[in-house]
Amino acid sequence: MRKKILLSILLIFTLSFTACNTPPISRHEINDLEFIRSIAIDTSKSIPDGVRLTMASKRLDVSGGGSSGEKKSTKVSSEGRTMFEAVRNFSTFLDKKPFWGHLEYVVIGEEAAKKGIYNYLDFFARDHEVRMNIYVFIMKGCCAEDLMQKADRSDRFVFDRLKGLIHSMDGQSVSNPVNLIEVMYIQDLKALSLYIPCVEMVNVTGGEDEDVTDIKMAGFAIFEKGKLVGFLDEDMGRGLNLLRNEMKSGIYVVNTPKGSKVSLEVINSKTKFYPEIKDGNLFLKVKVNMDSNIGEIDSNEDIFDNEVFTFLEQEQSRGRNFKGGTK
Amino acid sequence: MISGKDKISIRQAMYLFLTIVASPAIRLVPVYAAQTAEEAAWLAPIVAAVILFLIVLVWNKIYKSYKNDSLMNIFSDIAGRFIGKLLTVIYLLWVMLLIPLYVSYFAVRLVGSVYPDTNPSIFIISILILIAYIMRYGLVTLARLNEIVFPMFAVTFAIIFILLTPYLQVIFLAPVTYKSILPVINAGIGIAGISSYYTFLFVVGDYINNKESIKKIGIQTTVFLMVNQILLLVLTLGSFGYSVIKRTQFPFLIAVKQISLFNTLEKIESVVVAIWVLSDFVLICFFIIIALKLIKSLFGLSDEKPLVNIFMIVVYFLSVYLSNTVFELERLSSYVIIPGDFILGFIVPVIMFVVGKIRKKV
Amino acid sequence: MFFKRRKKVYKTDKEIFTEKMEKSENELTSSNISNLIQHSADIIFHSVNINGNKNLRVTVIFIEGLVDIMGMDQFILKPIMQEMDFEKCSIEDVVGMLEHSTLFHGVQKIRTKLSECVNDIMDGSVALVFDKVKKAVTFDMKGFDRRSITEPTEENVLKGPKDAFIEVLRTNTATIRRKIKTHNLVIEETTVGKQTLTKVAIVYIKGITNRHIIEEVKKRLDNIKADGVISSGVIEEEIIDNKYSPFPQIMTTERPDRFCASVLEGRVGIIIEGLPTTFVAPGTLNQFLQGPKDYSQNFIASSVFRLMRFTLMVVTLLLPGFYIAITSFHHEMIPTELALSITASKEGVPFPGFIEVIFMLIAFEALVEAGLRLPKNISQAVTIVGALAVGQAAVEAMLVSPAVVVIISMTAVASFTMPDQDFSNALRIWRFVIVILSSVAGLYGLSIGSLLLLIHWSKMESFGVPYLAPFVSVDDKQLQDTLFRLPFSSMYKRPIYLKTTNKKRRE
Repeated sequence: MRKKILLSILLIFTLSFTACNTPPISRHEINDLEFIRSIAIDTSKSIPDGVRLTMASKRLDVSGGGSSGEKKSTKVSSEGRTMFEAVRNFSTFLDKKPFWGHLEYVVIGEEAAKKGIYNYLDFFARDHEVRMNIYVFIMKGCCAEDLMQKADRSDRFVFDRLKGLIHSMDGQSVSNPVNLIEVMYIQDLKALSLYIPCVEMVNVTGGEDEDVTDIKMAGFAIFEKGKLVGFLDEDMGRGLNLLRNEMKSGIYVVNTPKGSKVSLEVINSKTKFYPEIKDGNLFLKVKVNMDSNIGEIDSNEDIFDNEVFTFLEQEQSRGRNFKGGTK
Repeated sequence: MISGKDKISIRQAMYLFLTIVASPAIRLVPVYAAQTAEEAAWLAPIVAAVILFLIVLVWNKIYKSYKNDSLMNIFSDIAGRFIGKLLTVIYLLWVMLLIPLYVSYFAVRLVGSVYPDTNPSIFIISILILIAYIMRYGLVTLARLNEIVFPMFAVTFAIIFILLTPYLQVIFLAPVTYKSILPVINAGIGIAGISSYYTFLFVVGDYINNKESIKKIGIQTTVFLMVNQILLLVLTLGSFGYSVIKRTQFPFLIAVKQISLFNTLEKIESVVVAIWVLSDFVLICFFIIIALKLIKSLFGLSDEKPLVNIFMIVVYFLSVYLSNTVFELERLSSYVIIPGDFILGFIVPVIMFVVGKIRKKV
Repeated sequence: MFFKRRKKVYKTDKEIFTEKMEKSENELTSSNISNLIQHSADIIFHSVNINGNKNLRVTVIFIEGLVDIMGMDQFILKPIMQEMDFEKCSIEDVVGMLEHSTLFHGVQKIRTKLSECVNDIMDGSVALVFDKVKKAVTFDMKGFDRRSITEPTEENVLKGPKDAFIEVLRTNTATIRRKIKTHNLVIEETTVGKQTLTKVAIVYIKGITNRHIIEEVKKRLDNIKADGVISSGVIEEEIIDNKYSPFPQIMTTERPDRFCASVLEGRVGIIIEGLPTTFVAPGTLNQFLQGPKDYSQNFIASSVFRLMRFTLMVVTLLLPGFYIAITSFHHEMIPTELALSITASKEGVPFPGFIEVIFMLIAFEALVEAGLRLPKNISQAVTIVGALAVGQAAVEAMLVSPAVVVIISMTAVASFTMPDQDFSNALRIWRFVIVILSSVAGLYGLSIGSLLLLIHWSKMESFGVPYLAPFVSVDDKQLQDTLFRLPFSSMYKRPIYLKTTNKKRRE
């Protein structure tokens, strides 16, 4: 019995001595961490064939006692030859350790996307901290870094803006959020090319006559073998959603025979494929079944009869019907 | 006050069996099945269940003649002392290979998923010390511990399945055509390799009571295992598709990572890892008991308890030096362990059964 | 067969004294008795002539305060002095008549040995010693002051009986007999304690309780080497299996209804003279989570509250460790907004997370301990003041963060829901262990800690019954009374792990 006590005391002492400088299992206090919410990937101008990362993180600054603080966002850029190197270089610019567990949005600039997107996404798939359902965006226009820096306002941070965009995508169905797992999955399919929603920056005249930058949803970006090949604008974006049976809702504005405008709101849409063989060739017939509400009528015309309905339906099925966004 | 202090009942033994199979199953089954049978992989456990059921029947029949013997005694009796001893040696060597494999898998899994940059030796040493503590009290304590751990495991699994149902897409699990039958059978045989630990359970056969209900409880166990594995495959394949699962290291963990419930319950994979620690503990402890009993029967010792400490040290060194990387472990596991388990767990008892029938001993 | 064979090697003082007296052939005379015990002021020796006859001398010996003086005067002294039949007899005739119960008293014994007579006197009997014939007649006339049967102090139930056990053994056994009227109820008595010679009663129902448990209880009680039995801990520690475990292994109760319910299940009850708390052996884990209210309330309500109690047990054990684990090691588990507010609230606090938690736990333990010492009406106010004011001030002074205060108060509230006090203490100790382990290794440490606890519970057995029964080691799981309380019609068998002889409760 005495031997056992002596042995366990010795053991505890040895363990505590080794844990003197660094604990064997790494421990970080939660207020030593920087919670990175969104990251922008660009090609680096100074390092050939390198990447430039810009991250935006959220912090709650407390002045005095209590826990009510103002929210602040920090934006830092760093460069490296590969993603991992650039990520590691972040820690030299930050006073807190970067933490990727709460990363939610990845924005890839157009130039970087043209070089091949799998090089960048491999880091996110392999790292253990990063969640697999982060959303990926492509930035139309030069640099995703601009998005992080300029579209970030103190009352509306860029990641909150992106979150709002995702939630509102169902409203008009011109685009569809895609997360990392889906990117991985689509890459394996031979019959589908990769599509990722894209955003672009627009200037909005603010209240006091200043130009404020805002983000707009701009359809899809299409990839082949991992490289960006083209964009789909809003109309085509809606078409893609219809093909993928992911049309949730949207507004179609059609004209009645007498010229007044009717707004039709889509409540339900189902797409079915029917393969046919004609002359030894395989054709695919796409049937879209759409239910709509009449949301608004421009004039006091009485459109509630069958002829006008069939006319409206025909007009709706013609497509090419999206116009919108801020000016 | 169980009659006979050191005995456990067959139901407790079956719970032990289920816990032992559950932990490697979560690790092996999705990857292996996705590689072999692609979309139809979720049907593979049915084949595995059929194979397991056959073995249950075999053992039921064997134990009708030998009421209270352990595996080694039965083999010696049926096939003669020399072959019996030879088989004991083979089983012992095999178990001595399995134990470091599972210990290092356990440490590597913890390091790879939740604790990066940590020395795996810490996990190995701590779990081995804990096992040395419980070994003083024998099989009964382990069985009781397992009766608490196993329901925790099952309930966690059920909750995770319910939470993941919104993320499932049926399109990943279809189409299943007649062309998938052969790959499914292939995958089923591979999965059945894990269920072969049923045979290892009977190394402690002389400590198990109620052997009359082997068949009835065996059926319940088989059905449960089948349902569990089918749900596991549906979970992982249904969320990601077989092509992604083929490549990932911890498919179950990635599936769990995407659960997000009302913005409060997120990333509960750490809880899953904690439950895994418990079931891995039971698994490693069980195999160490098996190994010690085999040594006891091989060398004719009277009691195996004094060997525990030395054995722990041996296991520690074996597991640290077994392999350097996790990829070697995976290779070892799929090319060596699964076939070996299958042979030792299924084919040898069937051969023994046939020989026993011929020699009119069974 | 499977309990350790313990031979009885220890003798009580009574037995040593008895042997000594028998050896030296001391005779039963009043002078011998006075040599032994006439040193105290309350031991009265009174020489009486029967019926005035100088030849008939008898010595009355009793202890004042223990004996009912009125009864003694009226039923023993008065008849002796006044009985006409004694007039013409000799001493032997008198003794003969007394043997055949001339006096109006129920409990009388004829003693011929000195040691027996002295023991009876010390126990509270009146002894009539006849020197000439060396015989004594003792009458049991206990009449000391006793506390009346009042409400139980700890376990109060709205719809249940409100009587409790008191310190007198005979009253307690009477209370039990009033509740269980079957003739199979057996109450055996034994003596424990070298100097105190305390009577201990073992209560069981013949034909239901397993005889191995009864024999084991008797054997362990006989082997207690204590000097005196003043507190319950003396007996409790000696008869349980694992002394080194903080968890209670026999149930303590001061309510007769709970005692009787357990005896009816097939357990063995132990009542001690001088203590109002009684023990019931063997004790299993689910007994310590059952409150007495469960059986008088609606079964659905009881089931919900029992489930809640189980969950709260897990909460009180694991919550502080869990908090430390996820804020120091596994930050991805916290939802983002919550993580931000915890970070903000921790700004300015110099201590790392686990130091805060340990500090608050110790502070809480100190508050509870202080609340025990103060008189009842102040203690509640002090604890509230302590918790609120000190907690608030500590947060403002940036010694602890508000999140930790919330966690610790939830833990504290959860630990007060445990019905059994000993169990709650044990949980508190283990909580510390788990906190330390999880501050070293995060969730792995938490699982190692809970594994240690589970192993500890799995290896414990109480009188041969596994501590975790009925969750483990039984094939026919009877979970009707554990995590929830199903209606009484579904509990038609006695608990199977007690291996009772009569299995059915309801025919």
